[in-house]
Amino acid sequence: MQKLVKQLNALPDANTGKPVDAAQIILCQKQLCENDFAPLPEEYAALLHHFNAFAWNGSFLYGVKPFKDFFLDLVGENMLAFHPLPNLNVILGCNEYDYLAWNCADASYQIIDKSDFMVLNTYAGCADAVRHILKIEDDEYL
Amino acid sequence: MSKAQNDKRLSTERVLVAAIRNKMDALANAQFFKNRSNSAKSRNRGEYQKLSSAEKRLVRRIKVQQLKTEIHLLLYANGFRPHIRDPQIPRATTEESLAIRFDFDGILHRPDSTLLSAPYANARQIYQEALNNGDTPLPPEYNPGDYRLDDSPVWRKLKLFDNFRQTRKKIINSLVHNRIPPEAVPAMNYYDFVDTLTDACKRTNTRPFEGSRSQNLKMFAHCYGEEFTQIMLSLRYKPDAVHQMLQQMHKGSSPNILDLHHKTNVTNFRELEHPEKINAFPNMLLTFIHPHHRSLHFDKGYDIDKDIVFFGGYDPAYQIRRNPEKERQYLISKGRLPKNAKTR
Repeated sequence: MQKLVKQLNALPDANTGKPVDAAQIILCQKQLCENDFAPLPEEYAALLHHFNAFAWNGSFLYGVKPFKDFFLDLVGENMLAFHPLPNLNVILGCNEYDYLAWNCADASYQIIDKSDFMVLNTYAGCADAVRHILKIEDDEYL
Repeated sequence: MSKAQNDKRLSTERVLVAAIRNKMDALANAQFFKNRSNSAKSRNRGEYQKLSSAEKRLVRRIKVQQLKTEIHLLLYANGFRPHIRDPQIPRATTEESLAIRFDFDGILHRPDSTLLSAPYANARQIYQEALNNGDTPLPPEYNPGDYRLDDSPVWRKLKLFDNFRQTRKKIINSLVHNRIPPEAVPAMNYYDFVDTLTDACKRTNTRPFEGSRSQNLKMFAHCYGEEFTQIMLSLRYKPDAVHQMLQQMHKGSSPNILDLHHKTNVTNFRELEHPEKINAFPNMLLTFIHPHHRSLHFDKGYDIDKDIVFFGGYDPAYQIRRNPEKERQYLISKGRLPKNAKTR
């Protein structure tokens, strides 16, 4: 995770939201749960403590009610995605054509097509999945 | 357009953008399950609070459907039509979707070893084990001329993309380096090609190619930068901000409020006369993310005029139409088209 944070900090012209605290994450978890979405995975919650939402070069990581207009909100975006299995998935980010989602049934991060929700890639770890959706390579921007 | 005319049209445009945007935000909120609370506000809700959970879900579902219909009507009233997919035309497979994305982004994601084909994976493993174990003889060396990539059905499809075609030599050199037997080529799948290309690029510390996305953004900035600037200033963006956006696009990256949109969706790439051109500039459109890009992807997706290259607003005054001659001159100057190429 530290390596990922270092990479994200190094991305030129990236926009990052201010870190959230535990109370905000708990509220977000509660809202996701009440609306029958899967809860946030721990690793992503840990990332929110560094950046509450992230936007770079057409790719986004969602945040908890982020401040700026071009950032995207976790709960709102999950509402708008109309995923066929919302109780098993929570969408954490996107780019032009894919979502980054956490599948709690498989305990894995998935890259899924926005139009038909086809799973294109699966990752065990958050960092690799985030790099995929942001389109950065493993050893870039270090 | 005079300032007065622009002011009037901008005012109308803003009302429409706000309407679509608000409807979409309302759509998100309409599904929101509000937990019971003892607050004064919720006590005043009266009728809604008396409903059971199941009834509240039904009310929310009706509200959602109503909002979806309103958004459809707004888009329809402004000349947009939903995309009707031909069920006879198959959608992109997983490997095709990945190949299109690779072509678009030019970013390497090494595939998991479980996705590799058996002949390729075995050959790799044998070579790695022989390298690690000094006593075991290395597999035989092959020459680049021994490899016939065209024997691979997967390569025959990949080479239709200009970017992949460029990587032929790198792939062969990587196969030689890893001592993959030429007879493994016909059975190689998409993931094998990505794996071997990843090896080649990591070894030489190079990129496989510049992705179509970056190329298209640079082309847009070069060919349509002036018109883009005029429209953005008409939309009341600050000159410094617009200049910065253009600078980013000249470097091949997009500003945070803009997105590149595929006019024919990646999933439906076979609808194109030349499917391998799915990431080519004529299929690209630059637009604002919210609500413009969202509205093009709303529900099953909406079609847009194929000649539009910048969708800055629902009003045509804030759109740019393609200039094929300008694009042709740009491609010739970059060596991507021969000088006698015809305008498309």
